[in-house]
Amino acid sequence: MAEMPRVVATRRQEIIGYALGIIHESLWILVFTLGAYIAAVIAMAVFK
Amino acid sequence: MIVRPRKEDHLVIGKYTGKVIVGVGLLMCIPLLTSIAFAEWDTAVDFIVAISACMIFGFGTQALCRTQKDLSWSHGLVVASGSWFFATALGALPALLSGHAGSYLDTLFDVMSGYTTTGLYLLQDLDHVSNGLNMWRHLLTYAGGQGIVVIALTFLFKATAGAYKVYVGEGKDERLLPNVIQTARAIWLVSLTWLGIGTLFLGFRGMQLGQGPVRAFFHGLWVFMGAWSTGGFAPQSYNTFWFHDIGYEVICIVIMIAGSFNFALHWAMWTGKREEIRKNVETISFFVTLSITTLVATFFLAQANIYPDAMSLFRKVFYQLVSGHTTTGFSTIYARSFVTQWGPIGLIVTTVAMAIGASAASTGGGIKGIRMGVISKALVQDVRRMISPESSVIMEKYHHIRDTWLDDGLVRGVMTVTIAYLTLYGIGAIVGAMYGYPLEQAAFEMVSAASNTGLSCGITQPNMPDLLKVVYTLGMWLGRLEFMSVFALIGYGVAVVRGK
Repeated sequence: MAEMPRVVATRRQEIIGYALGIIHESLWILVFTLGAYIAAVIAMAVFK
Repeated sequence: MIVRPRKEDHLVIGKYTGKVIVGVGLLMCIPLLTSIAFAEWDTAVDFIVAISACMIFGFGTQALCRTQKDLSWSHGLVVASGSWFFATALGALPALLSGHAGSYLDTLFDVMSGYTTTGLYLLQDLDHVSNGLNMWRHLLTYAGGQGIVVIALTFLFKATAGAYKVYVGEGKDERLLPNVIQTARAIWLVSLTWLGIGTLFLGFRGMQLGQGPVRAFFHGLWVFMGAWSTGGFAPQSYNTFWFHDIGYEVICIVIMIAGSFNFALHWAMWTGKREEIRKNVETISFFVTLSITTLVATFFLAQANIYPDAMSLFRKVFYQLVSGHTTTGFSTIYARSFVTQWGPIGLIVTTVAMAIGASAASTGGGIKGIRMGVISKALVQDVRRMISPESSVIMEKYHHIRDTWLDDGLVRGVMTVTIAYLTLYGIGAIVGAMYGYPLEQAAFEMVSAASNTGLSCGITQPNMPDLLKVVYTLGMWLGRLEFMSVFALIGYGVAVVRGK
C-alpha cells in the first residue's frame, strides 16, 4: 500500500492552532463560571 | 545491604545540581534589572550578592565534579530534590538581605513557598517591598510552576537519556514531544504565550481601575504569575482582595483554572485535539469535584445568610474554591473569615478542594485529578466485578490524551501516592493541633501547605512556632516533588553514611 503523504502544518497554521486552543480553553472555563453564578442565583432564591 | 555511592555517583549528582543552580543565578538577573530600572540600588546590591553566591556554587560544583557519566534514575531523583534544596537556600538571600524577613527560617519558608507554588508567606511589610524583590517573589513562583529543572533543561542541559530522569524527579512525567528538551521548550511556549495574553488583560483592567500604566503592567504581570503558576503570591498584603473588582476576579479565575491544567492537555488543545478538554479524566474529575464543593458551600453559606445577594455569594464562594481547588491561594476574603464566617463546613469543603488539587504535570499541587479519576474508575471496576458473574472479565479504562486500561499495578501506584499525601496532611494537622490550634484549622493550614495552595485561616504568621514553620516547609517540598525524589535524597544520605 502506498504511504500517505505526511501533512506538515506551516508556521502560520501552527500559530492559528495555538490561538484557537487558547480561545477554546478560555471559553470552557467562562461557561463553567457562568454555571457557578447560576447555581448561586438558584441557591439564594431557594435557601435564603 | 545498602550499597555506598561511589565517587562517580557524587560527581554526576554534583555536576547536574551545579547546572540547575547556575540557572537559578541567571534567573536572578531579571529582578536585578528590575531593581536597576527603578533605581532601587540597595535591592540591586542584594541581588548581585545572591547571583554571585549562585554562580560560585554552581560553577564551583561543576568544576569539582567533572564527569562524562550520564544520569541514572536514582541520580535524576537526587539531583531534582537536591537542586530544590540548594535553590531554596540560595534563593532566600535577597529577601534575607532586604530586611523584610524576621529570620533566615522565614525566608526559607517564603522561598520554598514560592518555588513550590504554595503562596503562604512570612515576609513582613509586604506593601512596602521593593519592585525588584517583588519581581523575584513572583518569578520564583512562575519558574517553580514550570519547574526549576525544566528551566535548566531548556537552556543548560544536553538532550541525554539522563535529562528525562531529572525531569521525572521534579514530579512531571508527561512527554509532550518525543524529546525531553523539546518537551521542556513546549512547556515554556505554553506558559510564555499565556503570560503575554494574561498580563495584557490584567494590565488593561488595572488601568481601567485607575492604576498608572507602569503600575498596572507590573501588577498585571505579578498577579498573572501568581495565578498561572497556581502560586498565589500578590504584590499586596490584601492579595487580590485589594482590587475589589469582578472583572479582575473573572480574569484571575480563567488564568487559575488554565494554570491548573496538565501541560499535555494544553498541548493537545493547541495542536488540534480540542475534544480533549471534555474527554480527559483530569478535567472531568476537576469540574465534577469543583461543582460538588461549590454546591455544598453555596448551599450552606446561602442558608447562613452571610452574603446579601447572589453576586456576592458567587464572587466569594466560587473564587475561594477555584483558588483552593487549583491550589492557587488567591483570596478575596480575610484569612480569619474562613473561621468566623464560613465556619466548620466551609473550612472542611475548602480543605477537601485543596487536598484534591490540580492536574498532574501542571503548575499545581495536591493529590491530583488524574489520581481521583483512577481511584473512581477502580471503585466502579470493583463494584462491577462484584455484581457480575465470576467468569466475566471486567476492565475499566480512562482517557488522558489516549485511552489507558486500568490494571492493578497502576491502581496500587496511585493509591500509594494518595496515602502518602493523606499521611502528610494528617501529620501536619496533628503537629498544629499539638500547638493548641483547633484541629479543623490545623488541618486546613497543613493541607494548604502540603497541597501547595497557600490559603490561610490565620495560622501562618511570622510569630508562629518555628517547628510549625519547618513542618509546613517540608510539607510544601514533599508535596510538590510528590515524595519519591525527596525519599531518594534521604536514601542517598543514608547510603553515604551506612552503606558498604
